[in-house]
Amino acid sequence: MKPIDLPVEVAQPSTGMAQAVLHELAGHLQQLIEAAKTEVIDITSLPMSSSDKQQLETLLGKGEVDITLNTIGESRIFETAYSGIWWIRHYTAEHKLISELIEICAVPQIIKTHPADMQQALARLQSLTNTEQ
Amino acid sequence: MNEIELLNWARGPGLAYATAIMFFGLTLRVIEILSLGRPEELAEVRDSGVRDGWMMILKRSLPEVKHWKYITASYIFHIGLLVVIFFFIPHTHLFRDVFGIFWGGWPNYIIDFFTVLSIAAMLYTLVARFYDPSRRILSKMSDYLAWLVTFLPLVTGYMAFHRLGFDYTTMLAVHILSVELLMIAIPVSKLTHVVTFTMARWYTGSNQGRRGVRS
Amino acid sequence: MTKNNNLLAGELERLGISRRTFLKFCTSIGSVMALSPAQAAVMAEKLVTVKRQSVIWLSFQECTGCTESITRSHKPSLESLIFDFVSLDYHHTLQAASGHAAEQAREQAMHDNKGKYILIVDGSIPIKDDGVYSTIAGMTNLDMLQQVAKDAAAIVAVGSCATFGGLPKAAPNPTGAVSVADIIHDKPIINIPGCPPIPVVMTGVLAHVLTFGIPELDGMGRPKAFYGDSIHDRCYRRPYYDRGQFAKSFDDEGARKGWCLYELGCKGPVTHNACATIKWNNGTSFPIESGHGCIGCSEPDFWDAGGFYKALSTGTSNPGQWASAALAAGAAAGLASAYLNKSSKADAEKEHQPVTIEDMGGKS
Repeated sequence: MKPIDLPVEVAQPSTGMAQAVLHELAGHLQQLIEAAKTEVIDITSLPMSSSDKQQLETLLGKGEVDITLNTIGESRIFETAYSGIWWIRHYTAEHKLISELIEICAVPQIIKTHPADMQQALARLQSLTNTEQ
Repeated sequence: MNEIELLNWARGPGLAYATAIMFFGLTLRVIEILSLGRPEELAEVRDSGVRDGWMMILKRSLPEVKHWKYITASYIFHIGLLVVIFFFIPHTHLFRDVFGIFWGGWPNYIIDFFTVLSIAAMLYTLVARFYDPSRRILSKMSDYLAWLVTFLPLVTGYMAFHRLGFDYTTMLAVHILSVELLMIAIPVSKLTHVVTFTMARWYTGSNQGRRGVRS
Repeated sequence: MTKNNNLLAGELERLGISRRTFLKFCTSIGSVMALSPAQAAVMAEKLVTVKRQSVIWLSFQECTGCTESITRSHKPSLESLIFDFVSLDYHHTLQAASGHAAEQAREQAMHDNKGKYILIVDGSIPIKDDGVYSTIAGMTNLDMLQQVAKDAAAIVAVGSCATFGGLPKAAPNPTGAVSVADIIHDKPIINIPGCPPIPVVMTGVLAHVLTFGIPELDGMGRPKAFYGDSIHDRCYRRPYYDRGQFAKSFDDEGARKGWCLYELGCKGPVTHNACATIKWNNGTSFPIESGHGCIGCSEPDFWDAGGFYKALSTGTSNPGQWASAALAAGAAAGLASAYLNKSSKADAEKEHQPVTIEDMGGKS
């Protein structure tokens, strides 16, 4: 039996936060260009209503790059229509959104492969080629 | 004692003791008053005084032109206080708990309005009492204290609902404690008039009705 | 894997937890604790490079709900990852099959990490009759707590029982249950109340302790990051409260519209926890969203706060009964007073001497 549908709608007006975030992003992008300084904004902790977030996402749009990260629960990352501004969503295994970030960078930190992982991969690759011999 | 323990005490033993003291005190005083009766009437009575008794209750409830400002403020305060006490939705639950009867509350914005009105009226009567020479002479410390114990629940209640002052748990505890203070003060001060004011007016009226010469 | 990237990083590799999963974990924990993304990155760095923190978990007079809440072992979650960053040297429920060996492991860990291990406690401690009402391996909880706390670096009291006494402490408290803070006074104690606490709250606090030390605590020793706001402060039904739109009974029209549950006993206004923001079951819902008022499970003495379905404005001590009893007593006292007054009035009349004109100096 389906649980009773209890639609609870509390009106969430647009507060203008989207515009404020755009200003901040412009500033960070300038820093990135001039000083190669990356920055991360945590959207989950910003006081934004759901319509604000919708507005921001619509304004930023989608670019060319769309990445899926398959970790414990997946993560969806895409570059917005503004190069250098990336939107990151982390999900749990049950596909619940646990954090949402905007990163201003050339490539998001979590995508870049860590040197230690490369070392380990080399070791494994070498052992593979060794056993084949 | 942390704030939640204070709140639990105020809602628990505090409320129990205050309720007991108030009901005990008021019942005792009313029965005392009624049983003492009046002194023996040595003269022939003009009239039984019953009709005059009821008329006096009405007469003393009407505004007197000379003191119209003070009386208006007093009415506003009394009506506002009764509305806030008996028709604020959370209070209706308290009364259902104590009396077993339940009535619907009124919207919050109405209660808010009457609270502010009552507070303003109380401030007016305090100032009017203090700055009028004859009222000032007649006023004793017990009058000002009675004003204070009535004022505190209104102000703390307003502050608690609007999340002003301390954190909510503490503010709610303070509000409930201020009400308990009022409850204890009622039977031991002039605030007993909450139950005796009709009796007092009736008595005065009937006395006047019995005295004098039949024309 | 390089050997000098010591124990913890090696553990991650061994457990198949990728660097990226781990970064995600730290990001979400940091976000929940209102740490900046930069601080979350620092947390990631530190967690990987520290030696695994020794943790001793003592379970006393409890229902095991707190352990269950955080160790859903059939469903690995990001929260339970925290256990991969600590060396859980003792947990008598999880190690139950080991018997005496578990007790020995505990003593060994205490010795090896003297002054540096973290003690986690769930469950209350009974102290009545020398604490015989709860013992482990023949040792009373009271003795075990005092013994293990002596050389601990810090204590984390998990769940309402350990933080405030919880259910065992509810009236009439037959076992004399008390909280950790009632017994230990010379060690820093972090209280994580809740019945049970939200899993990510436990994880977040532990992660913070491991990397940044003890987080900012409020007056009751609760981390402000999670317990700073009341449920009411962050409740999505708040507009209904402000407007005075309340559900009057379960499943009535107001309840179906999702109105405020104040009249149905919600203790949200006086309860501090993160349920309204972080929610339960990985952010699925929380009691109020499911239509049931908050029962105040992260506050002291919530079992004795007057009933889950009675509004916060009601009394908890049955004031109606006190009123009737007082009325009866007042009536009795009134009648007694009336009798005394009548008898003194009668006495006065008896002694009354009529006055004549001669007495007053006149002439008849």
